Amino acid sequence: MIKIIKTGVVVLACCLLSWLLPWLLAFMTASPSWRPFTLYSCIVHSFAQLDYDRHGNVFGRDFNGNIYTERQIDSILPMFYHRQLAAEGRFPAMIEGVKLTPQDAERSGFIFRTTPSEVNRPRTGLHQILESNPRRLEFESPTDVFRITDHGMEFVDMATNTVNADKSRRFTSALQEEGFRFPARLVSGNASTQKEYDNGYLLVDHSGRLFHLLQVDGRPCVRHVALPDSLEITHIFVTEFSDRRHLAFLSDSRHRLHALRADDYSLHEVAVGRFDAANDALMIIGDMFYWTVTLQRDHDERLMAVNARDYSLVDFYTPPAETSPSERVAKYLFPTALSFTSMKDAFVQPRLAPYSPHALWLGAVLAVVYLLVHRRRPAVHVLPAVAVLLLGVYAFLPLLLLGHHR
Amino acid sequence: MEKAIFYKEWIKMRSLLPVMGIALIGVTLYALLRIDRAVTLNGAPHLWQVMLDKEVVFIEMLRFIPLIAGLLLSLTQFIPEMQHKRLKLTLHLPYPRHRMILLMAAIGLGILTLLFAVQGVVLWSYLHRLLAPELTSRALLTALPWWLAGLTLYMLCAWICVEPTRYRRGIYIVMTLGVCRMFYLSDVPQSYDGMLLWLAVLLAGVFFLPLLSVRRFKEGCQD
Repeated sequence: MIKIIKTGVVVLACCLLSWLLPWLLAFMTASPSWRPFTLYSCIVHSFAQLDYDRHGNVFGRDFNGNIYTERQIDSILPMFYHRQLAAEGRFPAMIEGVKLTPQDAERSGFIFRTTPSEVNRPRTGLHQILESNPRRLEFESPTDVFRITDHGMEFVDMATNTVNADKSRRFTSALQEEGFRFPARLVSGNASTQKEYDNGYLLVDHSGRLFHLLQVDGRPCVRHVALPDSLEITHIFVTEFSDRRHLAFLSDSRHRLHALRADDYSLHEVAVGRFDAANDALMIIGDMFYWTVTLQRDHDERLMAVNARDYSLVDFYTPPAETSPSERVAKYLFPTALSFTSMKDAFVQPRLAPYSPHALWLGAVLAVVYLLVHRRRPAVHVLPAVAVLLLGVYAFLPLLLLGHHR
Repeated sequence: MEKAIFYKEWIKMRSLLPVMGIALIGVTLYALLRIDRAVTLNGAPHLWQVMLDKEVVFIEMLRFIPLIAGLLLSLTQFIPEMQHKRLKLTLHLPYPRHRMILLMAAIGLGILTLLFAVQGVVLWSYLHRLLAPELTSRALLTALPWWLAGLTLYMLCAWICVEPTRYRRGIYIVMTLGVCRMFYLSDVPQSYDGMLLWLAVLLAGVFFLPLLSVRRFKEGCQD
């Protein structure tokens, strides 16, 4: 019994060290990382970057090798710096043969961002649906929430904490009449009142079919959105951009990104390659001509320019992957690392990094030291020495500090 | 003999328990009173809205209370045992020493569990009338790791108190700080849902740690 407890204490110490030592190294060697701001230019048709020189002065460059002043950068990125150009009276009257005003540029511009930690979070299963046709200009906060059960949609009045049976029945019937099968696989909407208009909710039913749900004048408005049979939607991001062109971005089980048009519910694959919403961070800075898409997974980043009119890939750029100094050193010092939190989700759970054979040298050195310390009875310490060889400093410190003679 | 051990533990804890019980329930009621004030001033829908939008559960002020309760109860129970080496007398009683120590720890754990259960029932009684079941369970599941932290620290503190040497005690304190940190790594409600089983396994493991200190005490380890 005592032997098991002693082993347990060493294992506990080993776990704590494998968690805290890599964290401490990362904490001590943390340094700011800097990537220049990059956008695709609809004027020079190349990526353009905004950077700082040695003296801290702003300068720009495109990937054709041209260098720009800050003022010139405004000119080659007119859809992004439209306010600056308009204020200086320099906004172009026509871009790519399209006549436009600064107001058009403002209306068509959007920034969309999703990160794995936003996608992978604990959810309550309660949602709020706004009145899409509000009495006044501003949206009012809903007075109820809804949940989708195995049998229907259930509205709960927040003031009284009671189910609104009448409203629940009306919405359930409306969905069922359109062919919705309960329960829902996916429920996505944006209940914020700080927006220009409301696109309601997009729901995927039990059989994988997509539905659009709005609350108009207190009544349900449901529409089935036809999708190819082979398409299995995994994530939905309802959008409410000023240009009202799109209803949502969707990703599917084959890790493709799609844009759902608001006018005709047509689905268009956005040519950004593999996108897994649960693991990849995605940022789109878009306008009516091009979208600059930044796709990030771990340390790998990929910038893509997508034609906003047909969603095709125009250009791409892969900056060199950057690993932090602590990671470069850690793989030679620590055979593995235990962590409980992750940038990829908001859950706390044990996660063990892959074993690093590069750290075996330190394990071997420490194992020899351990055997030298216990040279009087080496046979008894062979097993602990093997543990030190494999687990390095994580096993060495507890075995030495909590040794029998102590 | 069990009765006598219960009585011995009761004598050590009897002055602390009413104070701890009143403090625990008092702080809990204060947290609920704050929620009630928010409901009175802004209405229940505001409370729901904030819980849904801001990832809060309104009982965050209780997060370290179980930890403090576990620490105080453990110190009250095990420091007297180490003063003037009274543990030596305890271990000489005609009762298996491992069972004796585990029984002492089980009494403390049982009392803490009871206190935390009362706290949980008080929270549930108020919240379930005000909030949807999803939000009530969200608040209670968020508090569950805090209660487990209190129970775990109780056992780790017993392990440290009974340890006869300062050197080991120092190492155990550092390890205990690390273990306690594990329970407070995220403020996101329900973020520990996938960790609860691991924390329960950890609690089950640390339950036996005081036996190691008793063994060392019995072997005559000392500074």
